[in-house]
Amino acid sequence: MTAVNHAWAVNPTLPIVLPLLAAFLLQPLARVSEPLARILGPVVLVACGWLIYQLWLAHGGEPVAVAIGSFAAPLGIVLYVDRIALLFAIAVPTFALLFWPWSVSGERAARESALLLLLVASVTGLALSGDIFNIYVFYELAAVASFGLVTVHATGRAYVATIRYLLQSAFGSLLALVGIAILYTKTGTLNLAQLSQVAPTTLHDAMGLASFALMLVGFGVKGELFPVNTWVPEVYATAPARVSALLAGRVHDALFERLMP
Amino acid sequence: MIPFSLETILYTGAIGLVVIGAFGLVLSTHLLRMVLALSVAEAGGNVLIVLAGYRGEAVAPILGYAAPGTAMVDPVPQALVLTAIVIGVGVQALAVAVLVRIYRAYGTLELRVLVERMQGEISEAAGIPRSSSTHAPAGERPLPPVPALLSHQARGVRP
Repeated sequence: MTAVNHAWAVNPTLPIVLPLLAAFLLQPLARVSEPLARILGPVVLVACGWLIYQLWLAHGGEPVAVAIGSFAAPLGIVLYVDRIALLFAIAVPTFALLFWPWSVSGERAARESALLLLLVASVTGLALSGDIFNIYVFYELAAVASFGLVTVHATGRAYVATIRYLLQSAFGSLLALVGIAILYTKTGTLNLAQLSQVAPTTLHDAMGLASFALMLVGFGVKGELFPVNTWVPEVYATAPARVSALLAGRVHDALFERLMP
Repeated sequence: MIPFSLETILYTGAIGLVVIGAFGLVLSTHLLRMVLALSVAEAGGNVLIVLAGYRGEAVAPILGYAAPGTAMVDPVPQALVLTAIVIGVGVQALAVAVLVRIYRAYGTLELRVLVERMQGEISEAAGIPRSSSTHAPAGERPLPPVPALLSHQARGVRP
């Protein structure tokens, strides 16, 4: 696990940035040319899948941390690319393609596609992120995109379900944020790799346990309480699983390694 | 007598705000109040993040603001809280937008009334009379009294 920026054939930020860019380009593009806007989403998703496959080939699933903007780990933000992250990252565009809204048309198609691309971008970011605050940001982005997707049917019941989901999810992420604040107070770092190193010594007390419990509950709210969506649950289910995997893989394991003899 | 330091008071206040928000979310029966409670809780969370980098004797982390070597407040939580505030405001704006849509659809934000109207809509769509759900127990089902709702009914106002 080195923080060195290797000579990458493929930059791992691309599968996050491309769908994000496409999501915001889609609406204006739909005004200009609707057929082009209709194929933009699937094309970008296929490109993302291909990029992640290239990433896998380039590194054979060996875990690598990549600093963004060439700031090193303690201050900069890193992407942590390993086998399971790539697996989740490739599952996201695949599921998005499977659940792509082919049948809807008109302005609603552009709106739905944009939200779905936003979701893909944020969940890919969630999968590849190596910084716990970045995970929170991507998680909120995924949440907002999914709020939009839940209201897509535009019935009163959909709105009521959305507000219920929104309140629960927002309070959950607030709890996670409080957990992150405690974590930062205790350790002085937000980098997952560094956290796993310092966790056994600094988080081995009630405060560390409290911060972990808050984050687990906070991030867990979303996984458990998905209300009315009919066609993204699979895409969506990858997000909390991945966060749990990241948390469990780093903080939780480190905690328990220390707690067990 | 326990000596209260400034930090103790600040931490208690921050956690207190989160707790007040949580209680507001759970206890209120009006959707707008729930959104307001959420924003109170978020304020508490943000204060807690700022406190994570706070030191009583330190100065603001601005280049050239103090002599070199002076203790500075940790700037990382301040950068984080900026992000958290922006995210919170965005989510609240979205929540209020959804509330407007709910009000247009059902004409109320009071939870009890809202649920009643939603169930009425569902029974209508199913083609059965409003109060004949097979899941409802026979006879009257008393609801615990809600002060706001009771006062509405006592005044004869349609909530």
